[in-house]
Amino acid sequence: MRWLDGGQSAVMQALDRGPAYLPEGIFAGPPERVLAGMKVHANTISHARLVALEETFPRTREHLGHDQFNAHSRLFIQQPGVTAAALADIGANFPAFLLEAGEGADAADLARFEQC
Amino acid sequence: MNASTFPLPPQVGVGLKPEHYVPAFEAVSASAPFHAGRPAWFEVHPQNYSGAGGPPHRWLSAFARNAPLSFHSVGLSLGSAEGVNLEELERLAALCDRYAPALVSDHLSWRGSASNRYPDLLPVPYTREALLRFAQQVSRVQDRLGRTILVENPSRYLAFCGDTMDEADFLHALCALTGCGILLDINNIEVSATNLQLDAQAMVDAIDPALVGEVHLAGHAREDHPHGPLLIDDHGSPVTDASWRLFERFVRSAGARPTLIEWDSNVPAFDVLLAEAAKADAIMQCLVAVPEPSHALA
Repeated sequence: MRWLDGGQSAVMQALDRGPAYLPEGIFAGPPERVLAGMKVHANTISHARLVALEETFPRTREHLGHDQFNAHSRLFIQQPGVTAAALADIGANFPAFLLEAGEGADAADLARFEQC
Repeated sequence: MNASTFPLPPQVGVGLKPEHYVPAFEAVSASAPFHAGRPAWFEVHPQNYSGAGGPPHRWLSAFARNAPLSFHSVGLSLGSAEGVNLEELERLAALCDRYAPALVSDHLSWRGSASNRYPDLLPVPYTREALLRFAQQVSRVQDRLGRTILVENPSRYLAFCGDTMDEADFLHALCALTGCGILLDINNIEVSATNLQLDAQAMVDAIDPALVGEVHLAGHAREDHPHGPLLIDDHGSPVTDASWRLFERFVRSAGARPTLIEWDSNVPAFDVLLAEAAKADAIMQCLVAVPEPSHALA
């Protein structure tokens, strides 16, 4: 598989959907080592997105409590379109998402305020 | 290509963090007494200054008047099959126009696609196909910015099956094709060498020092697995002894270079950062003659 014509998108699919989607013949080394390497990248990506939301909405996080905020954040970053945004803008639809997720208007308003 | 307004001195700089704005500014203000480890320049991630104004830009303007800046981008995605992220490029160009940094750099990596941006630096295979595509994108960036850039060697957790050259050969060919330079990250050498079972000293020795415009030093995390240690480039701890030895090895052969202490997670007190900077400074002072600091540029 050529890197630019399929190899790169195969790696993206594995990062998004899990190691079962990683085709053979791209990475060298024992499978457990390749898996560990992919896991580092997947964790870095997920962690950076969650931290970006925490840093954008510190008061909303305080208002909801860490666990509740984190649960919403983890669901939010899996929504279509969210990951197309730059990290600084990743929370653009987070206030609306909180409302849809059943949080009160106070939490959504606070998030909207923090976006400004 | 235009010469930058302020050349980056071959001395130690630190990554500029909002939590360090006050002590860092005091350290480089004209009235501050000289002390070992005082940063001669600062590096920032331009993506952290993507807004148009506000306190971050007021601080950055103040720093720019007192010390040279290096812009270390993490957002261009030079190795993406889709090509460079044009929105990031335009933002970077605007910031370069505003602050005239001494150096601009990004990474030998890619960050997904327009529909799925990964906040990570993903590896590129060392093949001619990837090289030509990467060189095309570096040239595109350099043409837009009107200056050459540096490209940083990555921290690698994965090796590709189809590599046809090693990292140094890839970087040297990239420099020859585009006129860009190398940002040599010593910690990344240690991380990649450990993870991929390569010889770190040989990796340092293989780099042509004439192409190196900046050096990075940082710490990393370590996980022990049954299949061997896995080093993770998290910039969250002091520089390791192994990296200090690699740095000494590089300086001994290459001479002094602008050298950055990077510390991006678990950010410590500014004094801790200065102590690391003093250590790097002492190595360069010991091994080569370094000119007196010239921090007052305004």
